[in-house]
Amino acid sequence: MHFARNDMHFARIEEERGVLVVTPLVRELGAEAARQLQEAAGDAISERSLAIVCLSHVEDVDCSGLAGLVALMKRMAPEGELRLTGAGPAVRALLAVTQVDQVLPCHADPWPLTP
Amino acid sequence: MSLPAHGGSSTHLPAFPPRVPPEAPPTSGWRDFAFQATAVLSALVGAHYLAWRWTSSLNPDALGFSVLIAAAETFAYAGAMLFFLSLWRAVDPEPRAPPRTLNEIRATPAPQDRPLRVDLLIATRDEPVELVRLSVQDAKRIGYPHPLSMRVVVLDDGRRAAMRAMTVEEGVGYLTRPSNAGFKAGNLANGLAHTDGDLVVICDADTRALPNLLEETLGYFRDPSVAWVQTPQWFYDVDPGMTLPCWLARRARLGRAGQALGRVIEAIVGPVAVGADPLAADPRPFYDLVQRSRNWCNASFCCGAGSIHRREAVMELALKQFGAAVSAAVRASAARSGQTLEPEGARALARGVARSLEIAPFKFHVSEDIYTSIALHADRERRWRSVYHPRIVTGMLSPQDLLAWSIQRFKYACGTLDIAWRDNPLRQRGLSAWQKVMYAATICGYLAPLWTVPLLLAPLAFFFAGVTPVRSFDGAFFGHLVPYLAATRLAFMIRAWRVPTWRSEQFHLAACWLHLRALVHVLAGRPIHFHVTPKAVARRRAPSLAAPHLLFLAATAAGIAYRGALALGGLPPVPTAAYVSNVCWSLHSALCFLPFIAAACGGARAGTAGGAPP
Repeated sequence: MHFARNDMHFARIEEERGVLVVTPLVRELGAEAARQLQEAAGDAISERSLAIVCLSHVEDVDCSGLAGLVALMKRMAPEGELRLTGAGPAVRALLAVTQVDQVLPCHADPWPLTP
Repeated sequence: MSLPAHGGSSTHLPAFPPRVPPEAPPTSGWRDFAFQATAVLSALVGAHYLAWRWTSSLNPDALGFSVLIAAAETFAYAGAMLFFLSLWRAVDPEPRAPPRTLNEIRATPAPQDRPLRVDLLIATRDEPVELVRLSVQDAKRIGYPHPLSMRVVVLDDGRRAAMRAMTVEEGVGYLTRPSNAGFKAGNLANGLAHTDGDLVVICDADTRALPNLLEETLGYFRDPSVAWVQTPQWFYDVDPGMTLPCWLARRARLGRAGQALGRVIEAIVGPVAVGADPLAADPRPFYDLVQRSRNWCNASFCCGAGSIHRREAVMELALKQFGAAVSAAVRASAARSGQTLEPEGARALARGVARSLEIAPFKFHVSEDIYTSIALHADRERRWRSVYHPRIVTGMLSPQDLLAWSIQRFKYACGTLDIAWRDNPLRQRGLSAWQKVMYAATICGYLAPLWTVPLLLAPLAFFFAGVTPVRSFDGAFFGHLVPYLAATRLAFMIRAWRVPTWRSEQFHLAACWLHLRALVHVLAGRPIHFHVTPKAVARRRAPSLAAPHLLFLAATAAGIAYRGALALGGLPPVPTAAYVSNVCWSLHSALCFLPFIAAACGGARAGTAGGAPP
């Protein structure tokens, strides 16, 4: 059971060159958005071996948001990789300081891919 | 006054709040100074006494015993001085206006400002539904001067249909999880994972919030480095006792003269409540003295309930610990294989490790509150701050009998000692020197039996074996000892002005056996059980808890009689001063134990539950 304070369609989920690309269409990726992201993309991402989360619309990611992305990664196939792209300097700094960047690598350009 | 047992539909609980919550006495720079001066005096006089003790008083006829007791005295001195250091200053935080919006509590503004979101989480496992309902109803009455999105969520590790039904009736949230992994910490983590409040209020099943809870505390979060605010826990069911003038006038039947005498005594030593708090459950000494003296150096710690947390601080710590655990596992794996990993290989390994690790916002530990506090204080990048709010904004039920009290104290002792053993805060590089002093004082309190037990038992050695720890109980001995004891007592009295401490001092001494068992438990590496402190039980007698104390009393009485008989017989000669000193010392210990023994054998209740007697 979740407690969403408001419900809106906020993420674009598409298949590109055989890879799932999730683009949250929110300015903030916090606790609430992270949970909505799980609901929106969780099923699509499960058992994938490669997926990309594009943060180009997101201005601010907090630690609850990062934890949500890690939770999303855990739903993928055992060797599955979740790549981040379009992250601003603040997000990259947060990834580095928490050492979560080794689990969620951040790429300026996630292509070309080696699926 | 009797009270029906809690449980089932017959649950009857007192109105809340039963009376105006007690106010902590105002802080005072002058009192701080007077305390500091007396504490320094007691340190000097104590050092003088110990120097004399080690150089001029050791008993050559019983050197081993004499050295043992002198060592215990030295440790007791060090422990007392550390305690004084931890009480050095009492400073209350500057109150600040309640924030209107999210950006007022953030360092960097959010892209879209909005009213604050607050989640009030009530963790429960087996407490009665009706008890939790009262907490929920109080939580719903919490006010705030600005628009606020507040949600009350019951986190039910008991997964009970009746609890769910209650939350539906009350219109609040309800969350369960498939297992009880991590106990309360795991339950709270699950609550955090399914809510999105910027601030999170943590409550136990019996935490009754007062309507001003948020209005009084959220202002502190205007400082973006404030990670959490702890408020005092008030056991509103504890018997407040009868004031001394009233007791002297009515119970002692002294009329007006008694009343006047009581007023004079109270004017000198502060308020005296007769018969108050038979179980030493009142946590005011801890909050009004210990926590309040930690504000100034940012060392007040979280106590697991009645606290408000910044979600970002909790989550960032959890992510950092998760990231560090992943790194450590990758490094260990690389070390095992004996070769440096390619970046790609390291990342694949990290992903694999990450899958098996939890992001745990509250450390899965019996003392998760202190553990999390230490970790946040020690975060060198963020320098998180904690605030202890000095005014009561919640009430709780006290442990209802000595068994519940003992379970709670054993848990606290094991938790703190386990942290000291595994993750000693003194070795945490991120903590300031003063923060280390404060955490060391907390740990030291639980190590006290190492010196109090030998000191308590010393008279028995005299009674039965005739050995004394000093060469002679003469004028030189008392001339050195008494000024030290008097200065120490005076310093503590100044610091604890108008805070009732006597009952908890008695119980702290009586708990030495419990704390000793906790120490053995932790050193033996035995698992610490996460018993939920029982909140709703009938009064139980538990004489076994006082078995060591009763044994001590019996041995003391036998010893006094035995040595007395020998003295009367005249062979061997017994120095009168030694005999009288040891009798006085053991009587003092015995008197301190009496309330504890009474609580164990008589099944004392924490209080009247109905509030103040007329």
